[in-house]
Amino acid sequence: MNVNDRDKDLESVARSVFDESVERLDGATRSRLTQARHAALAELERPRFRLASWVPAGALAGAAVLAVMVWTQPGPGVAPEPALAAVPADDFEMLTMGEDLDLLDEDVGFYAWVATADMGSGQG
Amino acid sequence: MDQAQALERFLAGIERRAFRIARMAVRDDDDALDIVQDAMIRLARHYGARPVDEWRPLFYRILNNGIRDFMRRRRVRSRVMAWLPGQAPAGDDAADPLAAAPDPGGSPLELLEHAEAVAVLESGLAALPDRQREAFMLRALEGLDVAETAVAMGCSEGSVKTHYFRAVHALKGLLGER
Repeated sequence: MNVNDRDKDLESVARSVFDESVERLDGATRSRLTQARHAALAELERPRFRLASWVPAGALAGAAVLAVMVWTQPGPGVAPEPALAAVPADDFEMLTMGEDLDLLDEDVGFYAWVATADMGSGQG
Repeated sequence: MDQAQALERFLAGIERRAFRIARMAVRDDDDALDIVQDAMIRLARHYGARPVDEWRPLFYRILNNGIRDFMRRRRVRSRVMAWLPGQAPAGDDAADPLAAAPDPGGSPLELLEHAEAVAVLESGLAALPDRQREAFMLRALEGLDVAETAVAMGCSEGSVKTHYFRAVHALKGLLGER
């Protein structure tokens, strides 16, 4: 018997021992294997999270969020204006009208008198 | 035949051999059953929709990975346990006389001879390095060809041939001593 024949002999003996051990498997183990198989088959029935179907929608949503962020983000040379949103609308209008703003410096006492006079006329 | 029926037929035809493969590697019935069940579930979950002729190498790849992970965790656990005072290692590689008890069927002498033969084969396989044991079990016991074994082991066909060659010669040395 040459080396290859002895190798084949070892393989065939090992395989026959293995095959016999498969045939002689006890009932309890067979039953548990059947249960395991049914558990695996139940996996086919379960709804699964399918990545492929979510990729286009996810990519679209991500692009939209990115676009909003880029749109609202100030440029590199622009200082942020965090207090702007907190300014009331009337004040905002006044601040943007340069010439009216200059009037405030001219005669603060006059404007105080006008306010008082208005109150008086309203009462009378 | 729909996919579920095809998968049931495939699993029914392979489950006992898969159990024996796992059992010979881990040498514990419960652990082997867990590994096989996990492999079945993973196959159904991830590859149930794949063509039927792809299932066999895929299943054995999943099973093989499961066995390999289990063995790795067991070795780490044994090393950790060895460091703990008063905790002897579990002796995982020791032969389990209850697990090697004869299965029903045949005369007592036949059962004993069979149990002895299985125990000898298991102890020989346990002495092999992981990759050699995997190659021998898949090629010689399960009958996968070189290409299928390469898929199952996640390596090249050349590596399969090398591991298998070394496994056969190591086993001849190990079993020839008996």
